[in-house]
Amino acid sequence: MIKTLNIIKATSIFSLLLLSTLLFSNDILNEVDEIRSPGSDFSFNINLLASDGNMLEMAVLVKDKSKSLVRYTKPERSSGRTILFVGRNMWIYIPGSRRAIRISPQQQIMGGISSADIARTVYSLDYSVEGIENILSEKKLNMKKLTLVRKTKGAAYEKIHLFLGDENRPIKALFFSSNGQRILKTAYFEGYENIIGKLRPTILKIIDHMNDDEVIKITYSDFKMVTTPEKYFQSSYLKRLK
Amino acid sequence: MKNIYYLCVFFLVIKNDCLYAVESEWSHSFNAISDFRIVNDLYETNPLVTEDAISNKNSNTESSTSRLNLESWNDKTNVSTQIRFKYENNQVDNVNSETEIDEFFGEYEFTDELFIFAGRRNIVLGQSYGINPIDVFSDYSLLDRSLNSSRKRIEYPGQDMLGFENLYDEGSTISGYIAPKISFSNNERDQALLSKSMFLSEFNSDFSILGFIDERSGLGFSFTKPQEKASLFYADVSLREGRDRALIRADTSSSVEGDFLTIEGDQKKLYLESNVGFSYAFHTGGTFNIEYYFNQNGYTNPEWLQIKGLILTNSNNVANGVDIDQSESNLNSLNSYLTYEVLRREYVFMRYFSSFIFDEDSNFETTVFHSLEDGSGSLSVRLEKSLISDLLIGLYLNSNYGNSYDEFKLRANQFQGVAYATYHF
Repeated sequence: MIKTLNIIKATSIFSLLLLSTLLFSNDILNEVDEIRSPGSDFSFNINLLASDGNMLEMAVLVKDKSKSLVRYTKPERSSGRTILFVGRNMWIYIPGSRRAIRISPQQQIMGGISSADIARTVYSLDYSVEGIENILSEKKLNMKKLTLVRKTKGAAYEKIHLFLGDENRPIKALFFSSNGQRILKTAYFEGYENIIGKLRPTILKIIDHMNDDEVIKITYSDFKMVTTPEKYFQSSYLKRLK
Repeated sequence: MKNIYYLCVFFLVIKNDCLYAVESEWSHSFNAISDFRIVNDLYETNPLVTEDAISNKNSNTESSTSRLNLESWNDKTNVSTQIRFKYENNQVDNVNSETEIDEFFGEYEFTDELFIFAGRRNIVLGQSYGINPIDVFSDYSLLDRSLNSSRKRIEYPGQDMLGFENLYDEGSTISGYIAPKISFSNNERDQALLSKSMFLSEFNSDFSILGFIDERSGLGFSFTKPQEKASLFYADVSLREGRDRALIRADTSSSVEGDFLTIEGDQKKLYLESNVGFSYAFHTGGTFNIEYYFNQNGYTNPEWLQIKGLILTNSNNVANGVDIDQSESNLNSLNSYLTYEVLRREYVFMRYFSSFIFDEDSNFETTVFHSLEDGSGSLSVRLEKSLISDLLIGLYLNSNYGNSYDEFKLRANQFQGVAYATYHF
């Protein structure tokens, strides 16, 4: 009887520990998201620069964290092209095409940059924390390594290893393929600046291992807290955006 | 008169707000595409196509096309215009130029959700890349297939219409328009359409249903659903009243073997046209589409065997010097009847598009439209490269394949090669 009680106690303590670790780690993921996105409704600009000098500029509007509207602003021939992201659903509107058509989150924008890489500004909507480790970086700095696994079918990656520095600031991320074994991309979060009350990364350097380790630099700027009308996030409205 | 009445009502309704619109600040946007193209078409005679049928076809054409898009708007009103200018120098007509107003319409935001519009407009529905069954009013003979997919369905004349679109918060839209045949319009017949498009968030799907009035009225459905992160399933389906083509039967009462009769198809039955597709986006940047297309209007095997038999008989007559004039005339008549986009029932369309097959500034597209009935088809390849930021050069090649009496080998134009340079202003 006492033995049984001890087993129950031990199991309960273990379960509580596991639960608290998971809750704690999900809190950490929320902190990471808060660093990457300053609120639920905001806007920012993006500049994508490939190693061969190719460049794209975009303006992004985010609503309720899960809805994004990405508008190409440069070069001129792509200007007005718009990607709408609502939950796991994506549409693209090409100026003049008279209709928005569905695309998948893996659709590429430039080099190895997928539409989801641009439009999705938070991890917690698509991924949950599977594990957390304290590790030492190559420069002997204390880091946390979060293993994120997809929780929705529409998530762009099967698994992500996210490396966090002081105050849970994202430093580096490894993005894995569908079988969870092959590293597709490595991302470095750089250029931390004080933006809307917090230190936030302004540069994301992505190394695309599927394209000869091509490097693409994404620069974020002009963050603003704005509330965008709900109708902007409807596929039928895209043709009316100016 | 009735149509003019509708237009008057529309303008009276918005009159007060138009006065406001005139006073409020207008913004404008202007963009243009200009391209220079060298086109080589190879027309061949075959058992169906006689020398006479291809005598007035252009083989080599140099053309210059400009497309202008002008948009003006203020808080409530939007005016859109698209005009195309085409200048062509070919072997037959020498110099030929034309101007087409594709769009010229005004749209007024009646409320935050309700938009009403009037004028010439080009409306496109559906997701399909090959043949789109719910693009119900489009005339495929007006499409320039040598244009890339972002331009092909845009550079197309719109209809003169009066319509509305109402958006709902949950993501659905109800829209409709009437496009009557009136003297000053470019509408060839009375047409109207009413559709409801829904975003089914719980299924992550888009679903549209439409009803339309035309010579062959009917219903249409469109469905799109992403599967996992990289693939999409989609279907566009229409059900239309009446068969779109005449049946062709041998005239057994005629003394000339090879003479034929045309019989109108069943005009009461509903005919199904459907396109079911799947697309996959690769990590490497490519996208693959595969679509299965079924058209119940297409000729069945017994119907096609009759037609094939008539082609064979008449071409043998010509070759053997029997009733030459009548047999050539029969072949030309048959050729003029067989101008539909597809003649048979079942096809597969495949497309692979990669935006950076050689480098970031280039893209590659290949498509195959393949008949499951006789194994013939059409294969195309396109390469495009940006030389500088707004200058694009491209090469498009299209060729038909199959055996001599197969559908795609019975067409006059067996090959098309187009080299082009496009500048975006």
